[in-house]
Amino acid sequence: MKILLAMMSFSFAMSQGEYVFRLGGCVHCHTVEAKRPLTGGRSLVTPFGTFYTPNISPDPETGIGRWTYEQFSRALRQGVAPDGRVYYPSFPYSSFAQLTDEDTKALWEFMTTMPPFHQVSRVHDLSFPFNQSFLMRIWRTLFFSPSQPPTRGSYLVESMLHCAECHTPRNSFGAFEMNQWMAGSSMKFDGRVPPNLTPDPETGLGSWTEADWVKFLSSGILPSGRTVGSEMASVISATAVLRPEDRKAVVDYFRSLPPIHREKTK
Amino acid sequence: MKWWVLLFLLVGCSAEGPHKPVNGRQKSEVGFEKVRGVFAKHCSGCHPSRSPPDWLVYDQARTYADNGLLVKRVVQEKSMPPPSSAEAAQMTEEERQIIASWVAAGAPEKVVARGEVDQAGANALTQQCLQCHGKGSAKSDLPIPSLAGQTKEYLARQLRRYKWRDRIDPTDQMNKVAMSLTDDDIGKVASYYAGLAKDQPAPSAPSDMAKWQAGYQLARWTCSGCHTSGPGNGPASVWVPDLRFQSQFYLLNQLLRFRSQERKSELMRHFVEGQSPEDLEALAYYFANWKGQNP
Repeated sequence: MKILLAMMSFSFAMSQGEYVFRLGGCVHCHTVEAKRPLTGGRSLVTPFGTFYTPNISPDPETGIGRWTYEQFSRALRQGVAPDGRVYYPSFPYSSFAQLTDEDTKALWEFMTTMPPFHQVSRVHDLSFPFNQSFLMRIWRTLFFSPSQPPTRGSYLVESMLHCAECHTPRNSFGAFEMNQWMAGSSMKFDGRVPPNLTPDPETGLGSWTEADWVKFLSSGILPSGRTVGSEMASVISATAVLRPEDRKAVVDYFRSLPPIHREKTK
Repeated sequence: MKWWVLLFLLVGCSAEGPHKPVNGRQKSEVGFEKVRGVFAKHCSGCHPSRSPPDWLVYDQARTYADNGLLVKRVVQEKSMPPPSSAEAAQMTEEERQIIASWVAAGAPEKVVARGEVDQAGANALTQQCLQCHGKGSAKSDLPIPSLAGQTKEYLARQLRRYKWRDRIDPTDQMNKVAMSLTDDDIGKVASYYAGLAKDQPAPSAPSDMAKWQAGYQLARWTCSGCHTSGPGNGPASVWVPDLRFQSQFYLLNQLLRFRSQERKSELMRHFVEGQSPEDLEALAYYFANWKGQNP
């Protein structure tokens, strides 16, 4: 019955570009109003100040409509804007740095098909000295060191889904504490902090079975029966589209992380 | 009110309500064929020639089984056949017990085997669902969902949530029904509806194309990841409901309830908060008038 229904439906094979676009979660951070995707304006409150995401719709005046692929690729994977400025690490270019040429190209092609919207981007509201954007050149020199992901799972988790951006704590320079990888951070989303995703039995997800992970990534339902909310709800709308073999790779990645005992930040 | 007082009241209410637990028929090894043999041997000499009933006719025998007289006279008082008669002397205690167990099993016409009991029980269970939900297409003018073709995982989860009042039906109807169901019953009902074919209306252009387009634009980056990115535009997971061709009124009703947090879901709340009633209406319209992922 289900097969018949599937056959009768309009078949919908997601393009590789849309797949990368969805997993990368571009829409979540660069959209305030669902009707005007990619026009930016979403705020990200951090100890350094408030960041506002820019318009990345293909509008030639206020978006990225005049960019070339080379400029896009450099911005996404090197963190350098077409005018030479270096982005703040609030834009996860250090995660996207690992994206393959093929995926970057597919993503670019898909993004050019999105509708353009005229929307002037808002300037970040940061405290001194973080408002000195030239400092980002120094930051980038110190902390930007992309490496090739060894497995499909690490490529998906660390690069495309960029889970570490919220689930790994940062030092006072805003760089990852590498010995606390995926052990949760103190960022606040609706009053709650991103939890420890390592398989630590007490403070992490050591009790989660493979089936728990699959159910969670495809529906947002936790083993307790409750669902996740806030930003993680948007992330679920990305992980839900993971192809079965990729979902398995993501689950295997998390289940094989070294367990780290780290209490939730208050 | 203490929670257990509330629970007690609720349990009390549910048993009195229209949705009493349905046990189905009980297992029985004695059908009418077997008791008919006993009747023919010991009763037909006098009945129905001297007085009714004709014990060899099922409906007539059934009347006396149901009104209690059969067991009273034959098994308890042993006043039938008349104690001084030859028939009474010939009738063994075992034969009287055959009649007793037949009546105890509900005086069935045929022997009910174990498998048939399950089927009969499941039928009785789903009968009450069908009254409102029907078998196929959704009624768009009522906030009642069409259940055909949803997964058993999703249906069972919702029934359990109704049962534990984690999901509340404002009419209380679903909570009452679910409370009367055992976990086993829930599994049966869920499997039944999961096995029914989802009704697929012939694709036609929605009458309000502007509204449909608005819904499509909204759903594209909010709903579609979970609800329509699976195989054949179905949900991404067995735990996620299929919204295609669902009752428009039901969809809108649930979206509003997610927004007001009357229906609890942190996840759904995140997607509906901040959306205007018009937006939610467009979303409901889009899914109710489904015609493919891409217009």
